[in-house]
Amino acid sequence: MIYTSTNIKRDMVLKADLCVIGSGAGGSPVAWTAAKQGKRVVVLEAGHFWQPKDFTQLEHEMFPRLYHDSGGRATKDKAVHIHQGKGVGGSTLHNINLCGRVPKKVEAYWREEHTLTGLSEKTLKSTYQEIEKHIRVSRLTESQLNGNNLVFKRGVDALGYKGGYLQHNRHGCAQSGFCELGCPFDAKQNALRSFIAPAVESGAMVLADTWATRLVYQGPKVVGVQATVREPVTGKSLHQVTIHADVFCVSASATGSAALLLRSDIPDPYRLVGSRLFIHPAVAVAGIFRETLNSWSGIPQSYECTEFMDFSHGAAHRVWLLPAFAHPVGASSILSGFGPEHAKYMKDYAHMASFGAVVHDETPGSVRPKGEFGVDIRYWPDVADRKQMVLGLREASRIMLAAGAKKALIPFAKTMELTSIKEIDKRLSALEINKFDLNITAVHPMGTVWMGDEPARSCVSAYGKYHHMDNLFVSDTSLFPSSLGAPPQLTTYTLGLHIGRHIMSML
Amino acid sequence: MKEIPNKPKSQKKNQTPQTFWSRRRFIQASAVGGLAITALKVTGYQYKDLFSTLHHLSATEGAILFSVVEAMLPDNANKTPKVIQRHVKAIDQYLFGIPKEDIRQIHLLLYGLEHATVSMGFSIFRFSSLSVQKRRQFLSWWQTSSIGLLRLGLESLKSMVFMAYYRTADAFRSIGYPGPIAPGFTGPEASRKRYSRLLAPPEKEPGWS
Repeated sequence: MIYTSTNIKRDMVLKADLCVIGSGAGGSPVAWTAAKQGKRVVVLEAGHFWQPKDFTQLEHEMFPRLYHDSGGRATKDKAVHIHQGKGVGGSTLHNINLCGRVPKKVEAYWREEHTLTGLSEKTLKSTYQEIEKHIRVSRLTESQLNGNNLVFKRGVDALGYKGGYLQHNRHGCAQSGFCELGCPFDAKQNALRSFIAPAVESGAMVLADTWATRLVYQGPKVVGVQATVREPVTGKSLHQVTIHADVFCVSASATGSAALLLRSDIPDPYRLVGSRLFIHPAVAVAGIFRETLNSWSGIPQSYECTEFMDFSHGAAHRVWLLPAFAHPVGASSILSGFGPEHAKYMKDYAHMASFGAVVHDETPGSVRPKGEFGVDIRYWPDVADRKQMVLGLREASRIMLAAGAKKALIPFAKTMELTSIKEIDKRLSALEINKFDLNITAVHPMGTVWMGDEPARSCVSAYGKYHHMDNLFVSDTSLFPSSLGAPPQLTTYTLGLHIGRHIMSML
Repeated sequence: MKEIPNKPKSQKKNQTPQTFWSRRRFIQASAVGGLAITALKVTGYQYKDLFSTLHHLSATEGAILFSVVEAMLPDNANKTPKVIQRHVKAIDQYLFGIPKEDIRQIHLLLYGLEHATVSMGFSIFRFSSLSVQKRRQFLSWWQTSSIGLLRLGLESLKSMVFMAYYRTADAFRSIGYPGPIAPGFTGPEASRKRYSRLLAPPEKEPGWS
């Protein structure tokens, strides 16, 4: 069953075969694999158990429910916003359903640097296939392009850039456009629907509103995890829960997992945990068209441009371009200014398009625990990654104008309006991005507890097993030895299934 | 030179308003009145009474935020005190999900903004005492300042104000946005039933059956 703070009325201790910390794309396949084999599985989830009936499609209600810090999480200096999900199902409750495998060059880099014994190419490929079938991955078609995506494709085609339809894991989609606020139609084949629900139906126990705060270990063995039950709206601490288990799997995201391990003082002789945070930092360009687009409606991201995406390490072009529109609260925060100046842009909201430029980054940030529940994230893109952002702004603007926009808007402190393609290189080629110049957002924190064969150069094995503990595993995006360069959920589910199977060999 | 005699005391009792309000008296009264108004603007807060029941912000902070909201909203937005009060309360409610450290920074931001108009030499009056136009001017200065922290402060204020405003039906109408596609929809029946079965009844404690 799924228990929430309402059910946990006192401090308690529970025993299980496996305790999974986090119910998102990494932890849910692990829990599912063990539960359907009859093991006693407890899943701890910091967020609440939200069901499709709770998804109101209103930003001011859903941001606090589905996002850490109500969507306001940021780096320590507040220069980069980092959106991370909470809730039973983790970030898969609010993601846009994009599915993509690890690019070949990135996988090759991982193997070259870290070998990854136990995760052969054949194993990875076959596990991807299993997951793709399980979560019903399919490629979108032209009929599924909304207004924003249509003009994006028009611009990409006009410039002769490389592009293509994206793959998603949605089934029975009503094309409402409210993916980021949770799907009231339960069309996302997400962690909750595809793994947690079946795991619970097989006997797993989920404790929602329950924040793991510390792993307790004796020698090389983790013997328990301490957690605090918190009231979902106010965050008030209510009770303490301790789980004893034979095996523990930490799946609390690249920020949460690293913070938990560090807060617990888990042995880390080479001081690696929490370093090498990558995030796919993104910037956006808006555009105003004569035609009505109603970009908030329909599938948010159906088409991509890969013209500037080279996955070689250190490549000159590492930018992924795709549509990226927001509902009114999100859109208004990104556009520059306030008062009448801002209102003149918002009045064109129905004619607005917005494209994002996501960088396959190489800047290594870091994560540390902050207090009992928080994370301290330090990340500022280095010079090379900032140059990629400028490239992204240039090309997103170019696509916007090539698609027929009256003007492209770059939301600096004072909006930069571009009305012709000729202006783009003139005004943007020597641009430098400094902190707080414009909105930089990331939704894919990765790295921090990465996999590899050598304990001196990695934190966990390719089976997710923590090098310095006997019964501790990690299964989430923190496994990635570098930026992935693709939407992470598919790879995270896949590694989760792989890790779950290995854990079963220990139980 | 002809001497101008002093008015005998007996004649003062018979003064009329026209004779009372000499130029000197008028100037004196204006100066006192001006000082009184300045004192009020320096020490008092309009609309503070509207915010005695906030959870995270003091009544004074509520009043300061009121003046920020009023300045940042579009000209065609409903800006009656009651409506702006609702926006401020919505912001206060939103702060439940924000870490305590960030809320402390919001306190500093609001007080900092309020007094920055004086300390930065923009005006002799505090921010909330300025006209909407002057407030916008000051905030614009923050928006394009070379000091990153001021730009950050402006963006933080903006995100709170627009969270409050662009959640409303009025704002939706002004930008042609229809709002939720399926208000009140409780999900497909099969899904509803499935998830309901998974949720433990309130009286059940976690444990293995």
